[in-house]
Order: sequence, then structure tokens, then C-alpha cells
Amino acid sequence: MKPLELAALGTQARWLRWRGLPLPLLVLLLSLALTLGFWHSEQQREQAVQRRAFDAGLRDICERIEQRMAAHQHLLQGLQGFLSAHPAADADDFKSYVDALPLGADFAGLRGLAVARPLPGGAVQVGQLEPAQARHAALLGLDLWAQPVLRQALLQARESGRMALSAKLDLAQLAMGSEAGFVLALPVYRGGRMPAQPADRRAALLAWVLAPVAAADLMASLYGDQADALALEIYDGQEPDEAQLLYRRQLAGLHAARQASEFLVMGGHTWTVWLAAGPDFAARHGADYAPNVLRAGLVLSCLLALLAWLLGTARERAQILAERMTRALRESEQRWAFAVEGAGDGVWDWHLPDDSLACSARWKALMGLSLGQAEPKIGELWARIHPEDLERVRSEAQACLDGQTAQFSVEYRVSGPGGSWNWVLSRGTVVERDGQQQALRMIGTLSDINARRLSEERVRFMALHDPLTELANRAHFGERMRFALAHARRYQESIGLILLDLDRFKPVNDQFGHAVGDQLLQTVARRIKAAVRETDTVGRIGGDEFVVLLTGPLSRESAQGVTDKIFNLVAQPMELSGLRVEITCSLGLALFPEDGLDELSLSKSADEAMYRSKRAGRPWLRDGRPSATPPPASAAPQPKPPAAADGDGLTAP
Amino acid sequence: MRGRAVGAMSGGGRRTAMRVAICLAGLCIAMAGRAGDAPASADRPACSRPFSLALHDHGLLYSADSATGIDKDVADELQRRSGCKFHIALLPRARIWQLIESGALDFSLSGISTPQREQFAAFAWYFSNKYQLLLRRDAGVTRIEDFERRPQLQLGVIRGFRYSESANRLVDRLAEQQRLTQSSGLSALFDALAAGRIQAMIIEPFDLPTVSLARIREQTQIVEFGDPPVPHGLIMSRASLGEAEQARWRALVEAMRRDGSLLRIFQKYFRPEQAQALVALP
Repeated sequence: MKPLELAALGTQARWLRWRGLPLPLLVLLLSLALTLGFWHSEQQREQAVQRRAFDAGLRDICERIEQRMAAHQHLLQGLQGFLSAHPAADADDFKSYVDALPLGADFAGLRGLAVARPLPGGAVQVGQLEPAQARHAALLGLDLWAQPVLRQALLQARESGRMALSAKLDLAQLAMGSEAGFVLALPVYRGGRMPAQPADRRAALLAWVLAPVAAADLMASLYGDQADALALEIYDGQEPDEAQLLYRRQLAGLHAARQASEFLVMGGHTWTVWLAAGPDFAARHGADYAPNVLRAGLVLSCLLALLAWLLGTARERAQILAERMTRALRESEQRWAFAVEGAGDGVWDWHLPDDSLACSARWKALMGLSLGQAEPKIGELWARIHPEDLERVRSEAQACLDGQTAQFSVEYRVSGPGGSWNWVLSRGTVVERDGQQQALRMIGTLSDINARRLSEERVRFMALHDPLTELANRAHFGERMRFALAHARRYQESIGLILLDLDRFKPVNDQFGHAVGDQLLQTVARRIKAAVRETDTVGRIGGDEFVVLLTGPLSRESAQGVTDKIFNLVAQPMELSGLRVEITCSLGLALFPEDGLDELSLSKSADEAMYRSKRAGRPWLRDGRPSATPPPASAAPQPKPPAAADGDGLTAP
Repeated sequence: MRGRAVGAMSGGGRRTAMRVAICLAGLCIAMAGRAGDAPASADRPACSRPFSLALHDHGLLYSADSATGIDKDVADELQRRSGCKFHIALLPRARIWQLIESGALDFSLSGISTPQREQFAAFAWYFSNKYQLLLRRDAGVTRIEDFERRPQLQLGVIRGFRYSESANRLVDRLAEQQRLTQSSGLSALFDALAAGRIQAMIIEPFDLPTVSLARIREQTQIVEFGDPPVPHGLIMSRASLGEAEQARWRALVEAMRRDGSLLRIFQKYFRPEQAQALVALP
């Protein structure tokens, strides 16, 4: 391919790339927009789902705490009712009551139920704690009123008549081991009813029922569904202060944006519940869908854009490909045409269904057609082929079409200018067949082999003929002789053999030179040929020796007539390079089968007849030497008739 | 005989007869009044079992500290008129709605409707009120729109509460931005507002006594949502009360409105014109 064409193709490809971009780019942008839109929507949905789940988690934990505190309240209310109903109940009654309570896992943080009574002087002392444990014995001697946190709760309970929740305290303050906790307190009034006036309440107060609770154990029993996905902190009051921390469940890698707090108002006291989403929270609520949507959307967008590009540029790319292939094909054709035409061959393409022929200019020239002539039908070509070759050509072509031969190759003659015939070699092969193996198309070349054929013929001619006189040489004549004898024997025909020897040729050659001698021989040869029929064969078998083979209907008389005619013609004066020369010859005639039955015997008979003739006389001489001056025709000596093989030898005068 | 007998009455007897007549008339009026207090027995709710009713601690509606409030009075009046026994409990509002939905709780008070609540609760309206935004002055905003635009400002709400249309919209938007601080009780919100942990909360007329406390009043301002008054009513669980039963309770509440009982209850806690405005349903 030429550099310019390469550059043009490159430019076209670059242009195609840019030209094909808007649609895929549009598709890509649209897909990306849809992807981003869907992703955004999905993210919003996921955020909403997570937000709802997180809010539900916060609500759930708050409700669990409230309900657990309510359960504790019910315990205390039961105890309150028991003490109100049985003011005279002793320690055993109290123990029996508490023992009867189902204080199982639902009250995991509860360290017992106590009853505290106000003592004269203002102190408040725990009278009994059940279930009793030795390690809690120290609690029984404590003055609860002396501890501000507990005093506040007791006071609040006494004044409101409802359950009061203490602030955070270390349970060590109640001799219960060091851990964060709180105390629930409920007043018990004499008569079971809360007096309306505060002063009356103080007077009517019989005791408090208390429930010390360890916060960590309480919360452990509230283990929720999402405990491992949510971090939890509970503070006493609204201040998220470490000193007020009641409970903490930590998680690594908290979601900074997903945290919230809620105030729990219980027993006249406020807790702050702080909740934060852990790393597993989002995944647990389908947060991995939106990123997958984005990833899949990006991949699909790119694929879609690629598909759009492929579809959008398919026509152009196919066109470019077709152009490239066409160009390559054209170049290939040009190369082959150049090669074929350069070799002097023509190309033909025979389309059999419509019998049309496509051919190159060289083919037309070889076929003797003009360049401007329309491409001929195959039938028109047959008329241009030599009649002797036509059948062979058609036969070879048919064999190839029928598949009997793979290649069609035949040499034949076509009509040339001026009525000449030119040899050509046509080669071809069938390149396309139908389902029934019928040939549809055949292509081939046509080569000019005229020169080769002429050369071959010339070589063959030279091998069989005398180069000087172009008469059959000894070998060729012998072959013809043998053929004629065989034919004559088969059909009982006669043949005649005439031997001819020029009389006194050597002096002519010596005196006038070889050129004149050669001209003389050529003239004699022509005259001999002129004297015989076309079917007869004339040969030169020696320097001045000629032979004639007479075939066809023949009699001794007619053969003798031919002999005489030769003698007379040869004896005619001839102009050779400005010289007038006359020469005679000696002839001997032998006939088959009378004078011999084979080549040898015939030759011998003819030879003997010739020598008899030669002995009988000499050709024309002037002063006993060959004449160099053309004598007047009238002065020319009259030749004598040649001798026959029957013993009448012929001799020149 | 009758004429004579009448005509034969002495002046003292005539006075006595007149006093008897007046007494009879008074008795009739009293009986008529009694009939107005309670619906006919056919319309009275069937007290087939003790009912559960929950109050929530919310300012003048009910104060756990004083064990008094509008809702408590309404509940008492409902008990008195229906003759049914109520088990009254104090619960967080969110818990109340859950129990109403499940049917574990029959009644609550001062509830407002939402499409979601209509699925599981029926209402008997007896007052309406507007909502307002109680906004800290140091929040730097004076309009609700500005409050919404400032991402650092937090709104305190009681879990389970819904409000008027604009207030609900604000709450929902802030919820999406995680700018809500929930609480199970009103007192904690006032504390948080006073401490600056939240910058605003939504209030009702029942919260005004707390709002008027100096620690709140001095730091805050009230911004109107501009929504019409929202009806409040007796909440009835559809899961535990049939349609007919609901209708009887609704009639009972309506009777309380008609005869002025509700107005009188509200007048215990509000000035007359305020009370009148509250019980005047739209």
C-alpha cells in the first residue's frame, strides 16, 4: 500500500474514532446519569432503611430499659402492697414474700429487695435485705439518709408517693461490691394510702422498699438483636460525663454519622441513652447494595457505550474494511495482471450461466480482436480457432468443465491479421461449481506461443531438409521412401524413384565459386520440384545428387514423363549472379515393384539407370569446360532424354 | 270535688301546696339534669370488664409530681359517667401507642390522629390546640425555615408524638438529618433546652406553665407554626373495642362537651377564654 493511502486510511480511522464518539458518549453519559441517579436513589433508600433501623434500635433499647424498670417497679409495688397490708409482718414474712418472687434472669441486676425504715433522729437504716447474703451484711448497719444520693431518692419517693430512681452510685456505698448502679425506692405509708399533704406523708411514712440494681448486669439481661452492631452508653442525667456513665458497650470503628441519644425519664430521674452504629450495622441492613449498583452500573455503562460505539460505527468500519479489502484485491489484481500481462499472457474469465466472457486487453490482442471490441460470447470464439484445432480445443475444454481434468491446457491456432494463423496456449481451470457440480465459472490465461511453435517447426524442418535447397534430406527422404513402400505394398500400388546427378557440377563450382554453385543447386531444386506433383517428394542426398519419390497412381510411362520433364527443366539455362549457366543432369528411374521391392533394390536400380545415362553422354560443355558466359538460347545444346531403369540410361548431351 | 277541695284550701295550705309544687318542679328539673349528665342506658358503654387507661406525663395534661391534670380529670369524669372501672397507669407516650395498637390498652387521652394511627385507633375529639416552636434565643434564628437550614441546631421531641402538619414536616426533615433528640418525657426536654443541648422543642398550651418558668422564659422565644388547631381526643383501641362500643364512648365524650363538663375541666387549668378556645373544635 502506498504511504499516501496509508496516511489517508489512518486519517479516516482517526476521523471515524471521533465521528463515532458522540453517540457512545451520549449513551455513556446517559447510562452514567441513570446509574448515578439509581445509585443515589438506592443510597437514599438505604440511608432511610438504616435510619429507620437505627431509630428502631434506639427505641428498642429505651423500651427495654423502661419495661425492665417498670418490672422492678412492679416488684417494689408488690412489696409495698405486702407491707401496707401486713404492717406487723416480721422478717420471716418478708423473707417468705421475697423468696416467693420469681427473681430470675429478668432481674439480673437486682441485688435484692430491702426494706428501710426511718429511725428516730432522722437516720434511715436497712432493716432487711432479701435474698440475704453474707457479703451484704454490712448494708444493714448503713445510714442511708447520710448518703446524699440515697437521701435524695428517699426524699423524692416519700414526697411523691411514687417510685424514685436514685442518681448513679457505686454499689460499694451499699457494701455490695464496687460497680455502677442505682437504687429504686418506693415509700410505704401507714394505711396504704399516700396522704395528700407533704407533712402528713412524712408522718405517715412507714418504710421504704428498696431495690439496689447493678447497671451492667441489668443491661446484660437486655441484650438485644443488634447488640453486636450498636455501641451503647447510658449516662445518669443528661450530661455525657464519664463520671455519670452507668453502662458502656463498646465497638471498634463506629459510624460517626449514625449516632443519637435519647432521654429516658424514669422515677423522676433522667437517663441519657447514647447509641452509635458499629461497622456491621450498615452491612446488616443492606448497605452493600448501593455500592454494587454503582459498580455494576459503571461496568454496564461502559459496556453499553462500547456496544453503542460498535453498533454506531459498524457501517463505517465495514465500509473501511471493504475499501481496504477492495483496495488490496485491486492491488492484487493489478499485480497479477501486471505479472500476466508482463509475461505477454492474456486473462479470460468465462461465466458459463450466461456464456459471457471477461478478458484482458492482451487476450483480445492474442485472439485477434480489437481493444474497443465488446467482450465476445464464447460461441464467437470458436470461429476464430483454426478448424483443425477446434475440435481438440472444445474437447479439452469440455473435459475440464466435466471435471475429468483439473486443468485445461491446449495449444491451438487462432486467426491472425492477413489470414495468418497464430499459435496460442490456453490454460484454465474451473473455479466455481453449483450444487450439482456443474461448472459456473472458469478462468484462465492465454499465451502467445507462435514464435515457439514456428521455431519448433523450423527446427523440425531443418532436421528433415537440406538447408540449402530445402529439399528433404537423406533421412527424411528415406523415411518417406519407407512409408511409400509400405503403403504401396499394402495397396499394390506403384512408386517411382528417380536419382539425379548433375553433370559436371564441380567445374561450375570451382570456376564460379560456391555461391554460384549454391545458386545453381537451389535453382535445380526448384526446377525439380516444379516438375513433380505436390504429393511427390524431392530430396537432396549429396552435393549434386537429388532424388525424387513418385507416389500415387503411376505407370512407367508417366514416370518416364516426369523424368523427361525434370531433365528438360534442369537443362534450361539459368541466370546465376549475372551469369548464364546451363547444366545437364543424369537421371535414373526405378519403379516398384518392377525394378525393386525395397528401398535398397530400388535405389540400386535407379542408381544403375542413372549411371547408364551418365555414361551415355555429358551435360552441356563449352570447349570441354563449363561455360561462364551465357550462351544464346539458341546456342544451348539440346538435352537428351534421361535413361530409364530398363537399361536405357539417360545422359546429357 | 277537686275544685272545691282546691277552693276549700286555706291560705297556709295554698303556700304549702305551692312549696310542694316548687319542690316537685325542682325534682323534675334535677331529674332532667341528671338525665343530661348521663346518656340513656342503651347508649351507655357496656362495662363488661374493667378498662385500662394510660396517662402520660405532659404538663397540664398530667403531672406525675402532683398526680393531677386535665387527662386525669377527664378520665375520672369518664369513669363517673360510664360507671365503668378504669385501671389507670402512667406510661411513656410511645409505649401507649404500641399498647393501643396491640389491644393491651383500651384507652388513652389527648391523642391526635394520623393515617397510620387510624389503622388501629379510634378517636373521640374533645379539644384542639395549636403547636408552637420553643426556640432558644442563642440559636441565632427566629424563623422555622432558618432553624431547619442550620445543621448544628437540634430539635427535642417526645418519642411517639406527632404534631400539626408543618411541625410534622419539620420533624421528619430533621429526622432525616439526624437532628432530633428524643425523650420519653417532657421534663427532660425542658432540661435539655435550658442546658442548651437542644435548641428548640415543640410545645402545646399545656406546657406553658413550664415555659413561663424563668429559666426557660428568659432563654427562649416562641415561634408559631401557623397551622390550624389540631383536634385531640380520647384514644380507643380498635383491637379491644368494637365499633359499637367506640360509638358509645364517643357519645359519652360528646355529652361531656355539650353539657360543659369538659369546659369546666379546662377552666381549672386555663383562663376562661383559653379554655373556651381549646374545647371549641374546628
